[in-house]
Amino acid sequence: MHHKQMTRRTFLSAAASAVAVPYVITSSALGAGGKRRTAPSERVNMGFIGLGGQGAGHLLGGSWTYVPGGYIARSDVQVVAVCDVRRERLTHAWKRCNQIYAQRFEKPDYDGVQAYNDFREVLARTDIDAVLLALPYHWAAPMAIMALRSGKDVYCEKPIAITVRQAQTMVETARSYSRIYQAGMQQRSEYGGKFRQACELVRNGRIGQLKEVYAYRLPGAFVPTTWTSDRSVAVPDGFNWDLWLGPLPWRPYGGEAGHTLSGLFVGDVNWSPHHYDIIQWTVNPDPKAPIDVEYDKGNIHYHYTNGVVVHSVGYPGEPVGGEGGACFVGTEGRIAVDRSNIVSYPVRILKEMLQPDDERVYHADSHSGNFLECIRTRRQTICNPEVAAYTMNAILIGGIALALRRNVHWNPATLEFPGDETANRLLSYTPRPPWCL
Amino acid sequence: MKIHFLNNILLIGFIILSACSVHAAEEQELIAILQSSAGAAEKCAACQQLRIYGTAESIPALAALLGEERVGHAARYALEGIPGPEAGAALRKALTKTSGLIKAGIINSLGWRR
Repeated sequence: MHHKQMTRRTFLSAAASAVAVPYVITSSALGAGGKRRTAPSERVNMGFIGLGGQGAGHLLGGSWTYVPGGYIARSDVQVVAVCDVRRERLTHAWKRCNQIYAQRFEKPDYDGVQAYNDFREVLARTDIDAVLLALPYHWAAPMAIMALRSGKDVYCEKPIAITVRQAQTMVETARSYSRIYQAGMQQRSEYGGKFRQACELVRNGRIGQLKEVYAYRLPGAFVPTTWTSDRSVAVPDGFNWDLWLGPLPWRPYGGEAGHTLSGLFVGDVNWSPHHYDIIQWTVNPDPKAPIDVEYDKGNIHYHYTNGVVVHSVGYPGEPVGGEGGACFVGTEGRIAVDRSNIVSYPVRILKEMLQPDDERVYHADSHSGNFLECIRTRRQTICNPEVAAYTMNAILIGGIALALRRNVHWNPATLEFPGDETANRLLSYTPRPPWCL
Repeated sequence: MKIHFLNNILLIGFIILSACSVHAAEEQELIAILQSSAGAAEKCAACQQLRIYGTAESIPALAALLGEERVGHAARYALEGIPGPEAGAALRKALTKTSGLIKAGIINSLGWRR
């Protein structure tokens, strides 16, 4: 079924083409000193849900962020809503945003940014074009799906899903509702293009035929060993614990509410998306071809039909790769890359320029910029739903192998382990009502 | 050669049956926990294991817990994962005995099992 909802953006676009009027530069389009600012109709109205370290960094900027000054500094973005289940984070972001806009628009009593405790109120606003989600792991996919269904374009921080079924539902929803979605695997766009450079060099045979990849990071999966707990401490004032918990099994607040709760995951689902996304981008396997996942004494080895083997460990003696990267080993050399470095053996590989007829991959120099551009053009993002889901599924099937402590055989075309009923039981989990996918 | 081949087949069959016997024995222990006066955390832990290894043998014990506030969700998690018509039938039967959010969750599970 194809759903095409009339959003604020599509309405304005249709109206503009239907009626020809003289172009008038409104006062809101002009800033101090008559400088031209982006017109309100060209700004993307955004809501920010999840205001911890990641979310607040996206919104306001910060030392770690690759978005200088945050989204609020962009002239093509209008922040209209902030949301968090923790009152102190929400209040800080709300006040800061209004202060920034008050100064920028020279309106001391500016209050155009609204604060919400419950994300459903943000999603219900028809004037919001897009939301940025920076959430605990268990909320990423359910909330992204709800946002897509409510007509919002979505930027979702990784991990974008904790089960294969969640990832697939997200893909289908984005497609069905014709929404733009960007997964927060920014390495494809940022860090000076190092990862893109490594990808293109490998794809163009500069290390010969690719044989092995070293991932420097275990995959992971949602396989709870602790379903619930009786530990109970007082809920901090202003913290909506029930909403934070959301679809997870009920337990009283036990003092823990970070990215996730302990005892719910095997392996790594947090940093691994960065590593394995670059690996998928570079290995470029047939997305429908089966994958044999080998379990070997706590490590995972992925065997692709194109002959490439991906190891969950680091390349012996190679320090480059550990920070979100990988080491690619071919018949004629190797390339190791991470956020800080890119090295090749032999050295000449990096010195040789790509040729005009060499294969190129999707080029973006800003992950946030790519998201916003695609909102306007409706072109697929660099980390679109299918890309994001394929990467996440690679991690999750490896995590399932870790949990079962044995090999598994994966069919991406049917999204199942053929004939492996036990492994298939870990492709989904049961959300706590009223939440559902 | 033929005898050697048959011996290998028998050996493999024995190994598989042994593994199944281990799982069957464990399943009975887990069912016993569900039917005991153990606390919610322990029963939920048993449900987690039955999600992975449970068979139709577990269904009655799991179904009996669907209406319980703390354990019902875990029991549903286990039932949702057990293939075969019996688990679906148990979930449908529970619809008439539950209400509110618990019932909504069971409907959701039946939707996934379609």
